[in-house]
Amino acid sequence: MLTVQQLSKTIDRQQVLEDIDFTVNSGEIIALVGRNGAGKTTLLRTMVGIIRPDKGDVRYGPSSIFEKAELKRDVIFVPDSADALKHYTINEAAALYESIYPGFNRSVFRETLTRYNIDNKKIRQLSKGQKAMVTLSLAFAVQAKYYLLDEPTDGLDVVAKSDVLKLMIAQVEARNCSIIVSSHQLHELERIADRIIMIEKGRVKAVMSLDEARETSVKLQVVFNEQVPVELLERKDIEVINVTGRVALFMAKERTKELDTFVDAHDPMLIEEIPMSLEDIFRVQLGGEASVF
Amino acid sequence: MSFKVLLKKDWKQVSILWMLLVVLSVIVFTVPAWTQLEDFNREIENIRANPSSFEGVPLDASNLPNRWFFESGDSVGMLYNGLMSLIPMGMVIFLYVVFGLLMASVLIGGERNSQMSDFSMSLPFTRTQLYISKWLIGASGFVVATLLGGPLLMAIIHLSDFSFLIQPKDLEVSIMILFMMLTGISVFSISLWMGSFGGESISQALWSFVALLFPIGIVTLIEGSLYTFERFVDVSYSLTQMWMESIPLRVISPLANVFNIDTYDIFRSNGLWEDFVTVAPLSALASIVISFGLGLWAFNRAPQENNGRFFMFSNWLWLVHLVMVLTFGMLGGILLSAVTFSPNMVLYIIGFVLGGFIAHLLAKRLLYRFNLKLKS
Repeated sequence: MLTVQQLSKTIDRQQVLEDIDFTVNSGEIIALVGRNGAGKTTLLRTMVGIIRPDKGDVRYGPSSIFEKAELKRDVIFVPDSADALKHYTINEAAALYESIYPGFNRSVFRETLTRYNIDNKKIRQLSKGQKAMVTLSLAFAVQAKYYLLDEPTDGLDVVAKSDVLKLMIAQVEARNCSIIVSSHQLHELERIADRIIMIEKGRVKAVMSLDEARETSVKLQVVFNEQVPVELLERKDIEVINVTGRVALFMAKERTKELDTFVDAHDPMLIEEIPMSLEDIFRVQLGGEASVF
Repeated sequence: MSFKVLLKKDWKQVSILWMLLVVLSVIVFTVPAWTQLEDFNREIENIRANPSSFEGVPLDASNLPNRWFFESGDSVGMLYNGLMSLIPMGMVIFLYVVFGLLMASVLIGGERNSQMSDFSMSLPFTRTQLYISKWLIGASGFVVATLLGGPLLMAIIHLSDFSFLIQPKDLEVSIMILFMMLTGISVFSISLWMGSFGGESISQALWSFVALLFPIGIVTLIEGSLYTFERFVDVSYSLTQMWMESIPLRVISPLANVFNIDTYDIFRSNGLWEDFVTVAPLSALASIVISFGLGLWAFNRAPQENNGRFFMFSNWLWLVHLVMVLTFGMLGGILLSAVTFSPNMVLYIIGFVLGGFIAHLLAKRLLYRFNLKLKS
């Protein structure tokens, strides 16, 4: 089990991480979501021991990653670009991984490359999608227990994105490994994540499953008998998505009796609960605008 | 998983520079010696053809053996320092300084500029292992370059008509070559240490340049400043002389260590040779040990999140800022006071304030605002 304990980090006098606490079990896919600058990349880099925290610890099993470098054999960090290995050919990169990680399975790696028709050439000469596939294939061929992926599908086309997601699911199914993935592609995370960790201004705002998140917040489409009441539009606890005539579509951070009573008091013709997507939850919980995704 | 993996990874980064160092070293060790031997031949032929033009040369010079021309004292000036002029110490050390700075900047600064630094730190190795691997790869370049170039140099002299120059001095020449190697490694070690807090390659190269010049430069600045206040002239002269020749300076500054060697008479004077052999190589060795230790210490503590900055240890920025203001202030003061024939205290103070102010602006930009925003 991976345990993040009271992790805090200040960079340039700004608290980037503050008392971050959560655990990750074997076989889980965790979606790390938060607005730009929320501290997701810093958290991932700290979890693999690249950055040292001011306070707190990251433990894989009973040991701290900051005390036992050998633990990193089972913790693979995949950054958002393949720049680190850009001067390597694919075969050289595979040889490097093979010599570092005893569990590296070259045939698994080869199989993935063959499936996606990627030839042996310098990594910098590959397309963005191919680079992502190569770095992820290298990482997954290591057969590690924990994977920390930073924006693995950023900038990929829909086919490549889908392939990356399939690759992740296949790994968890085959080996019961854990994946912590940070991404702004919320509709994709929604398909694969067991739990969501929401980060806001360096703090964990919530750790929950998607179902729990859906139960916490609510998205309603209400048709009123008359105009949409101004009092509804002025409420601070809801985010109005759309108002068309007598129809209002809005989300509330929390499902409360007070809100239900309020809506009922305005004599609605129809109340329909719309299923919430992860993107909706993100917007209502973290106050994000669509443009920052 | 073995340490060899790290060496392989670092080799990939620096292999071209490493091989270039070895090839250029062989050239720099041998070609100047080769051309110098040709010059000896030409000069001796010239003396033999025109003995009367040279004081102290007998008229039947054509019968004199080559050895005679090197033992005839100052009269045949260019041949007096025969053996030392065959050893291209200045060129080799210049090459080693350049490649020491370059290799160290690629090994640490270059890594910080790309995501390779994050990649390295995420590998199952300690920072100590990462640093040692880098140091070994770089240092091995100087060892191999010297082990190839040095013996080739000695072989060329041995196989020439002037082998008598080296025959009694094989050990001394070997020690001299070993000293050059140690100087190269010490410059590299200092530059690698600078990379432990310079946040990217250009910053590391600048810090390395500063580290090489600072120990001598600061003394020169203090001396120049004291000179402005005339009553301290004698004090400053004796203090700086003492410092310039001191062992601590030779330890912290490989360049001062080299400049303190009297190469003109070193193979003729037992006293000079003993001074050299007891101080210079050991100072270089001490410099390697100290800079390696400090580099390892700082590399282990460097905040990785400050990659891309000019100076990574943000807690010490105030000190760097202060030193920059003081040194540039002194430089400004010395430059402005030198405008008049005799040192002028008022001009010095104006120059100090101006230099310090410019340094303050520079420090604000470099230390606090400069940030390449590297993720790694």
